[in-house]
Amino acid sequence: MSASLTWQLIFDGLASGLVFVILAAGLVLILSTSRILFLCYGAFYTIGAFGTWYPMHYLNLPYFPSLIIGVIISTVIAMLSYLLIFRRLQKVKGGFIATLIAAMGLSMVLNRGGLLVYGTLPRSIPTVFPGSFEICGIMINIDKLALIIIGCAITLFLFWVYEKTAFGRSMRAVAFSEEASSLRGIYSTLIYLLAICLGCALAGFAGGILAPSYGISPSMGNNILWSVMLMVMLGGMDSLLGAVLGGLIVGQILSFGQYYLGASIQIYLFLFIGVVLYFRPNGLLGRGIDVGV
Amino acid sequence: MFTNYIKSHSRFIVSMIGLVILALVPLFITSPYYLDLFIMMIMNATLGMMFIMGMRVGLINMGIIAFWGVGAYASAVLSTRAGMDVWLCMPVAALITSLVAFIIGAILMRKQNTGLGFVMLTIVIGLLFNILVGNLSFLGGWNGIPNIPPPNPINLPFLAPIEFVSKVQFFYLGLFLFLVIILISYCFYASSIGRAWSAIGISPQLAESIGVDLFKYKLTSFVLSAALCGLIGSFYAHYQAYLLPDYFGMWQNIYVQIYVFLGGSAYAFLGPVVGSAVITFIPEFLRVTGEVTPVFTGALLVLLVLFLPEGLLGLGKYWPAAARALAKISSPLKRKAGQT
Amino acid sequence: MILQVEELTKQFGGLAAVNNVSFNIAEPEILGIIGPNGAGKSTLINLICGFYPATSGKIIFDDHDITKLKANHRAKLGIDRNFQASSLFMPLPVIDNVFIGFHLAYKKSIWARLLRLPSACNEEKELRQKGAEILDKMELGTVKNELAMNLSHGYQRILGVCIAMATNPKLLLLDEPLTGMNQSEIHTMVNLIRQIRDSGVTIAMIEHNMGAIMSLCDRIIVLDYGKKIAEGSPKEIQANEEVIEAYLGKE
Repeated sequence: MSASLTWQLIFDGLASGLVFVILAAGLVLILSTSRILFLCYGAFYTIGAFGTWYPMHYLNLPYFPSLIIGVIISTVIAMLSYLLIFRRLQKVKGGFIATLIAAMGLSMVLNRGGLLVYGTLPRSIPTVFPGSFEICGIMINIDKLALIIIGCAITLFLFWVYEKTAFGRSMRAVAFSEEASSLRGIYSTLIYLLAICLGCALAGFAGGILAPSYGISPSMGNNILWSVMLMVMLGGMDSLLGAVLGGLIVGQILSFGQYYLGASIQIYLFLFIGVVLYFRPNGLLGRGIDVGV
Repeated sequence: MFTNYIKSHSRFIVSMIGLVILALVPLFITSPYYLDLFIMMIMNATLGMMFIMGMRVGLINMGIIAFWGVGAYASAVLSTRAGMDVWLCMPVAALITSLVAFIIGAILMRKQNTGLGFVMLTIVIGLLFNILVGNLSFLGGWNGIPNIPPPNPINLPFLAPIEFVSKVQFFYLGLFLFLVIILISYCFYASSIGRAWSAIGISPQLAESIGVDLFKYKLTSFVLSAALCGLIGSFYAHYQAYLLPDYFGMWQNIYVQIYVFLGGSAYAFLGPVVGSAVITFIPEFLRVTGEVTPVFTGALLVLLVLFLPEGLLGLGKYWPAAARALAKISSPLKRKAGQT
Repeated sequence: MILQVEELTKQFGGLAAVNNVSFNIAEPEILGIIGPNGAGKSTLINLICGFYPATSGKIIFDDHDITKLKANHRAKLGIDRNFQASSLFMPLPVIDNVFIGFHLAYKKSIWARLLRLPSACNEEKELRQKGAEILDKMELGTVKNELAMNLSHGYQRILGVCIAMATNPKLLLLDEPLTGMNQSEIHTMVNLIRQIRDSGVTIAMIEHNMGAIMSLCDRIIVLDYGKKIAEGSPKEIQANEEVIEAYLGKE
C-alpha cells in the first residue's frame, strides 16, 4: 500500500465523509429534538437532488440557484409533513409506534411517488468544478476539494447554530429532556418544526451537492438511508459531534473498504458498528434517547 | 344466560367459526392462485402475531423479516446441502433462528438499550439481511437456492400417504402450523410469563419492583417470536421450493407492520389476521396496478395512523354506540315514551 | 437489624443527592424519613430499592450485601416499595394489578405453568384468591373489578401498597403514601400501615404529614441536603434544634 494511494483514499474518503457528516447531522438534529424515528429522511435527499436537476433542465438556471431551489423544495415538503402528519401524532401516548408507521408510509409515498414523477432514467448534472491537479502523487479533483470545503463550512455553521444561538440552545434543551420541551407550549411546536426543516434542508442540500459527482436516481435516498442510520448510531443519536465523527469514520471505512473489498464492505461496516454498539450502546458520544413506547 | 356466554366469549367464537371456514376453503376454492393467496395470508398473519409479541414488552422489532429469512434459509440449506429430512429441518430451523435471536438480543438489550436504539438497530438488520444473504455465495448469492424439496409424504395407517404435490397439502400444513403457533403463543400469554410481559409493557418500573427481571423476559419474548418466525420461514422455503434474497427485503418487513396496524395492535391474534386478510385480498378486488400499489399503501398507512390508530378491530368500540343510534332512528315511538 | 445502610452516597454529576448517610432499621419497626424538599429522601429510597446504583457505600439487607444487586433481585429478597407518582397497571382491573404482583410467588415449575397443567391452574386460582383477600383487608374489596385508572387518587395509592404487599416483603418502603389524600383517606391509610407493621413487615416511610409521622413512627431520621442530620424517637426529633432550623430555614 503506497503512501500516495493511502492519502488518495483518505482524501476521497474525506470528500464523501463530509457529505455524510451533513446527512448524519441533519438526522441527529431531527432525532434528538423531535424523537421522531424519521425513516423518510432518505426521500429528502432524493428530493433535493431532483429539485436541483429540474430547474437546471427546464428553466436553464445555473447550478447554485438550482441547488437553493432544491433545498427549498425539500424544506417545504418537510414542513408540510410535520404540520399535517407528525405534529398530530406527537401528543398521543404510545405515539412512538404511530410516528414510526407514519414515517414509513411517508417514505413509501415520497420514494415511490417520486419514482412515478421522475421516471426511472438516471439523470446527471455536469460537474460544477471541473478539473483536477496533482500533489505528491495524489489526484485532487477540484469538485471533491469543493465538497470538503463546503462540507466544513456547513459543519462549522451547524455548530455555531447549535451552540451559540437561542434556537440551538432550545434544541439542545429539548434533546436533553423531553419534560423541558413540554413546558414551552406553542414554542415547542416551532422548535420541532424548525429542527425537522433544518434536518431535511441539510438532506436536500447533500443530495444537490453530491449530484454532480454521484449522479441522480430515484432510489438514491433509499440506498443512502441505512448508511446514514449506521453513522448516526455509531456517533450517537443525540450528539452533533458524534454525527461528525460517525460521518467521517464511515466515509473513510467506505473509501478504503470499497477499494480493497468491493461491495462486501457493507457487511463489515455493519459488523464493525455492531461491535462498537456492544461496548457503547448509545454510540461513541451519545447519551441515549429515552422514548416511552 | 346463553346470550351472556356469547357476549363474553364472542371473540373466541368468531375465531372458531373463522377457523372452520378456513379449513373448508380448499374444498371450494381449487384455483392454485387463490390457494396461494390464502397460504400467504396465513403466513403473514403469523408474522404479524410475532411482531405484536415483541410489541407487548416494548420491543419494536423492525427487522422481523430477517428472522423469517434465517429460518427459511436454514431449512433450505439443511435440506439441500445436508440432505436432512424436511420434517426435521423445520424444528431445527426454528432452533437455529432462536439461537441467532438469542445472540442478537443479548447484544442489543445490554444496558437496557431497548428504546430508540433497539428500533434503529433492528431496522438496520431488516435493511441489511437481504444484502448479506445476496453476497454470500454459500447461501446461493443473488441467485438464491433452487430445488428445495417438499416435506416427505406422511404415512397414515389405513389411508394413502399424504404427498405434498399440490397446494392443498401445503395449505393444511400451513394451517396446522398457524394453529400450533397460536397455541404456543396463547400458552405463554396466559401464563405468568405473559403477565410479566404485560407488566413490562405497561410499566417497566413497577414490573421491576415486583421482581420481574426485565432483561430475561424481554429476551424471552424476542427469542420466542423469532423462533416461531423461523418455523414459518422454514415452511415457506419448502412451499416455495426456491428462495431468492429479494423475498426478504425491507418492503416485506414494512408489510408486517401494516398487517398489525391495520387490524389493530391491541388484538394479538385477530388483529394480524384481519390486517393480513385485507391487504392480501383487497388489491385483488380493486385490481390496483403494480407501480401504484406502494404509493397507495404508503398513503394508506399515513391515513391509518392519523385517523384509525386502533385499526379496523378498534372500530368495534363504536359498535354499541352505533347500535344505539340505529335503535333510536328506527323506533320513533320509543323516543316519545320519554327516555333520555 | 433488617437493613443496614453504611455511608451511602449518590452523586449526580457534581451534586451529592445523598451524602454519606448511615442508619439501621430493626424489625419490625416503622421508620420515618423526613426532611425539607430536595433533601434526598426519594433518592435514598431509590438507592435502597435498586433503581439507582450507588456511587459509594454499602447496603446490607437481612445479612446480604445488596449494594450491587438489580432492583428485581432485591424484590426477590424481600424489599419492595410503592411509587410517589402512582405507578400502577392502569388499563388493568384492580384484581389483576394485585395478581401480577404475585409474580415471585409461583412455586410450580415453569413447564407446568406453560402447559396449563391443572396443578398450575389451581395455583393461579389460589393466588387470585389471596389477592382478593389483600384487597379486602386494605378496604379495596368493593372495587376489585374496576380499572385501576378509574379509581380515585386515594384508592390508587392504596392499590400501589397492595401490589407491593403481594410480593410478601420483609421491608416495605413507602414514598409519601399520604400525599394528595383527604382526611378520611389518610385515616384509612394510617390504619393500614399499622396493620402491615403488625403483620410482621418492617416499614420505612417518607412523609411530609407530620401528624402521621409522629403517631406512626417508632423512630425517625431527618435528611437535609443529602445528609442525615438527626435520628431518634419522635419526641427527640420534635425537640431537635437542627431539625427545626432545617425546616424553618427553608420557609
